[in-house]
Amino acid sequence: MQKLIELQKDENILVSSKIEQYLKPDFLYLPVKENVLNVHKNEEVLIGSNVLPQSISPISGYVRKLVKMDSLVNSEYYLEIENDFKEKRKKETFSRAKLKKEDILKKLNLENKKNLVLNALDNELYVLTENFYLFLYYEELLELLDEISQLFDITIYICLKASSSENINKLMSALGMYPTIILKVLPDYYLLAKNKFLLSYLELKEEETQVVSASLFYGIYNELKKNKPTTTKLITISGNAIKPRMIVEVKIGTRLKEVIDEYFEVNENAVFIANGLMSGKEIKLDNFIVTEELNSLLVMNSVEAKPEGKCINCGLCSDICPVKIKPVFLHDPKYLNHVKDKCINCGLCSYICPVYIKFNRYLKGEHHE
Amino acid sequence: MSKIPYIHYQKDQKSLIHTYFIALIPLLFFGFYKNGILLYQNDLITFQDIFIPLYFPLISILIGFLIGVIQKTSKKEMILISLILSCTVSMNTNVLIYSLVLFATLFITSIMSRKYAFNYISLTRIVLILALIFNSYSYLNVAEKINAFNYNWSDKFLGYANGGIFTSSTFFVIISFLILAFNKFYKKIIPITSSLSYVLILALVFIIIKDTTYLNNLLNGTTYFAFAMFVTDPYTPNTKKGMMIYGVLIGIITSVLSLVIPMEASFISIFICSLTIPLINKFLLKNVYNQ
Repeated sequence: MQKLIELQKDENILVSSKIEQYLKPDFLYLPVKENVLNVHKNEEVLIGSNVLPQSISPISGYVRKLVKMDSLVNSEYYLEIENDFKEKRKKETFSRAKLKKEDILKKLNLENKKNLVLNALDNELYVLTENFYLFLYYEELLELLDEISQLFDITIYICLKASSSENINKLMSALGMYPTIILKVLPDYYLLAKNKFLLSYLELKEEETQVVSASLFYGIYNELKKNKPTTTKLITISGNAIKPRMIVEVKIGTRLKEVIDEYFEVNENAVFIANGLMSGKEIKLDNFIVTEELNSLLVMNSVEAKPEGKCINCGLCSDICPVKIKPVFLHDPKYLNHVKDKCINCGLCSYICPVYIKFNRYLKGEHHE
Repeated sequence: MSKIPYIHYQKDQKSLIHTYFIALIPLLFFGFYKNGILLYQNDLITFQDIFIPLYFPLISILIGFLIGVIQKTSKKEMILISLILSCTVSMNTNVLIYSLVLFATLFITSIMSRKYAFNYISLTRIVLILALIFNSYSYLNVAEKINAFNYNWSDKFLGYANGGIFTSSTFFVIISFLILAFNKFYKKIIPITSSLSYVLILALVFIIIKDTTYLNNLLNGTTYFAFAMFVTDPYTPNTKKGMMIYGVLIGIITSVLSLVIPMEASFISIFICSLTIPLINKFLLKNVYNQ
């Protein structure tokens, strides 16, 4: 297995266990991906209405207009829906007592699988989103896992980090009732949350194992057991330029700025980074929309980037690369083409580089030496 | 995706430079003792002459600083390079010519190295032989010239053999190497492979020729100093495999040259081998495509 490392972190940045809910925004914005709308202007929509080919409305209200917004989804226009605050649903919610094998197979690919891994690990520093899905909804998740274990002949693992002591305590007492579920407490290594590295660490075969994140599994639970579509999301909001640092539950489609303005004090010179410091993206907060892809917002004090020095050929970037790329050769266009698709954009090469080379600029084709 | 510089490994190139300075301290102390204090204690030099060994590092620090200022490059790095160079010269080096040659050569080679990649520190060191030839080509200090002390193998290992002012001790070079090896950015694999191949070949030569004079080369601290400090200059192959090939190549050429010019063999070898780095990198890159 590729040797993984623990990233050095600022121990002062702690996420509190307080959780806020921001579930009543005035407007929601859904990314229009295929230029096709299933609704027209001023039409009334309910929670769960298929307003766009691949998205449902998380609120009930009225369709207003198309606006330009930004998000982690590659989409220019967003459908604005005005909230009527009535929370009217398209389908009635109900609790299903017992699931059938076919119901689960529709949502999870467990055909010919020997293992199911519930992944509650967060990849990035200062992010605890998956951890909190397990913390808040462990009873629901365990219930579904137990039903799966009765219907399928598979081994079930729950993976969480050794640092999440509250979760470990909770699960240790709860797991007495679920003897078929194995708890795996893992070190705080970067990239261990990625399926490939997690399976390698657990020594499980990829073709025999289905990995599912805690957030996704909670969504499946709601759809299968409660007949409720996923309309909200937990997001970690932390960083050294914000206080307090906490988890917020928001409606998918909410403007992120509204959430920040509601609960946080932010430094003037702060920068906003979506989905983590290592592999995330710097964003402009004003028109940024919460989508399913967003799991964290880190608000960091702006720092001057260290100037890039001349490579000292230490070779550490090649040593640390989890997919065995040799970043020192990325300036060679032929080599770049050879490995472009292999790179997972984890950022480790730039993290370790003693002269602060930003290797990802080669991947973007920005610069050739 | 943009890459954000908010998170980085706690150390960078600066820490490596600092480690080099720390690693030089034991060598500087021992060199000062052996070529200054010890000679004075045995009435071989006057009190003022105790400080002659220190002239070279002090002058070199000044020259390094000056070049750093003129070239607007890292002053610390230039000071370190000139300090490393000063450790390897002989006690018989002409101080004035040394200063002039060091300034001119280091200035020119460091500029050249920006365009043509090669180990410019070793080339500077080769040119510095001029400053030694001007007096007399010898690495013996006053005591060694008159054979004042009778040293055995272990004494020689500790450093009481002839060599550069601050590099005669294989023992202290090993200590310096160990200090450096703790730094993540130090390319320890090159000194290890070059030293191993050097020792193995010289041992093989001894087995075949049975001449103990070649065994003396095994305890030449200057050679190991060059392996630890010169060979890891920024310009090296950049993969583990490449570094190993490079190290072995340096070890082989040094061992062959040391049969003729033991004190300069490592510097010449490092300079020659640095010219092969593009070939080594090209060869390894070709292998990557073929995988």
